[in-house]
Amino acid sequence: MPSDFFGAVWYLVTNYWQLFLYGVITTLIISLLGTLIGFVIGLGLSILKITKSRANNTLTSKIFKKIGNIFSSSYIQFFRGTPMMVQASLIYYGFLKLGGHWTAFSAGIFVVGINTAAYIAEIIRSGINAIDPGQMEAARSLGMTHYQAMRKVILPQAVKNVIPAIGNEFIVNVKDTSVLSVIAVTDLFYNSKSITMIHYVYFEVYFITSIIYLIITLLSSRLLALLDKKLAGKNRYSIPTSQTVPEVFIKGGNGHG
Amino acid sequence: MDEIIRVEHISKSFDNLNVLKDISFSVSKGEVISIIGSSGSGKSTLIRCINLLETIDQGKIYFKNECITDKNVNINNVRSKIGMVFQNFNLFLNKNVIDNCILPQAVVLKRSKQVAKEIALSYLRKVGMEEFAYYQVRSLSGGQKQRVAIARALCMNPEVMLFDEPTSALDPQMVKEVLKVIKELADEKMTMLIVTHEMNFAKNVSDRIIFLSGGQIAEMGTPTQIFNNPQNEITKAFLFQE
Repeated sequence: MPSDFFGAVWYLVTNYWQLFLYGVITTLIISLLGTLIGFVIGLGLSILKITKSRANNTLTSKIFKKIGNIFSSSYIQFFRGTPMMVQASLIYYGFLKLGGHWTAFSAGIFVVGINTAAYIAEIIRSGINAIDPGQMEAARSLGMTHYQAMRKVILPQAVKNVIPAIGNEFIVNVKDTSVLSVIAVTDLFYNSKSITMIHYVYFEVYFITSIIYLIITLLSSRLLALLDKKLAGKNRYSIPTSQTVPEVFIKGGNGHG
Repeated sequence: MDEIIRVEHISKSFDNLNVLKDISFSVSKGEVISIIGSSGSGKSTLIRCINLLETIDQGKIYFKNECITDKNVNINNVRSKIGMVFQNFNLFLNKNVIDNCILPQAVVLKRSKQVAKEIALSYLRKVGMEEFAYYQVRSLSGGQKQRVAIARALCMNPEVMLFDEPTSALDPQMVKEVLKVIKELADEKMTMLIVTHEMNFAKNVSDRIIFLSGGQIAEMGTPTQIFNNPQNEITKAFLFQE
């Protein structure tokens, strides 16, 4: 092992690139699946949280709605109010104690998923609240039920608006999966730590690790920015005047699609 | 004449503010009624109560002799027969023009996509928006949006149309194109309740005018009675304020 810094870095990269690579793959899979699971659960939680009882509801439906409200609020409070490192340990060892069998890898995906759900639930809830109430009124005035209006009009708009924020959650997860090393998930951080144990060099290894994390998060941000642009639609800008002339005529597009 | 809507002694308040006080009137089939009055007089609240977007505190509203303010009534069924046009258009921003018209037909009336599309196109043609059928909503001008909103409501084949200040968010040129569409509906004997600040339009198109003041009907009558010979001092003050 060379004694100068760059020599050592090069030595580590060429000799242990496979371990780094496996770490990266594990980190990416857990972050990606965790965010997806988090989105699905979070969507459900956000709906449970905003559902309100109405005067004409039956008693049973009022009770169910109240239980839903309480459940989702407590869920969100718990997962946002405790560190993910503690959640991972609690859930991983808890399941084992109950006699369950699972690998640290699947436990990792599960923990990241249910943890992210709490954050995404709040993101979607604020997305729903940000939709103009006129959208719901128009849907209801046409005879749609509250559920139909939510599904066909409100949620598609809310989800589209919060996709960039959910992408951010993915980036957060790329970094936060490092705490899963506490239950021995072989992610990028855990593998880096293993490499330090071989040669007892620390700074050089973590230097490489930081660079890799930075590359992943930078690339992800770039991709997100592109996605964000695509979602906003092409040539979308408004002319800062009153809207006497339709925008399509001003910008000369055909406006289709 | 066939009575289609009857409002009986309705009252409505938001917290301590009494917005509507003991309002009663009825609407016959084919009748066009304009509701006028200064801002805050309860015009919009009144029309929103008829579509059950606001719940009333007291009184009853009948639609074709069915009490729609009853607890057990199927609200969605009633609303699908009463079209509503809003001041801010409220077109669905996640849908293009024609899908705005197709969605409620498919979801509420269970019409097939093909049938709904043909009906949508025919009403878009009626309001002069057929060529914009596949445009995104946000690329339209205010007047165009409002005409699409009218077409969307008409697609449900409503028996009554409610207009809540349909031209208040538009500039004069666009006001004209929207009022032209409403005038055509009046000529076809569509039953309509129109909340408006366009006095000349109200005068020309209505069979009856309701003048609201402080949440009460200050005066009700034909346009000639109200505009040429108002009896109430408040009506006079409102109409001849210049």
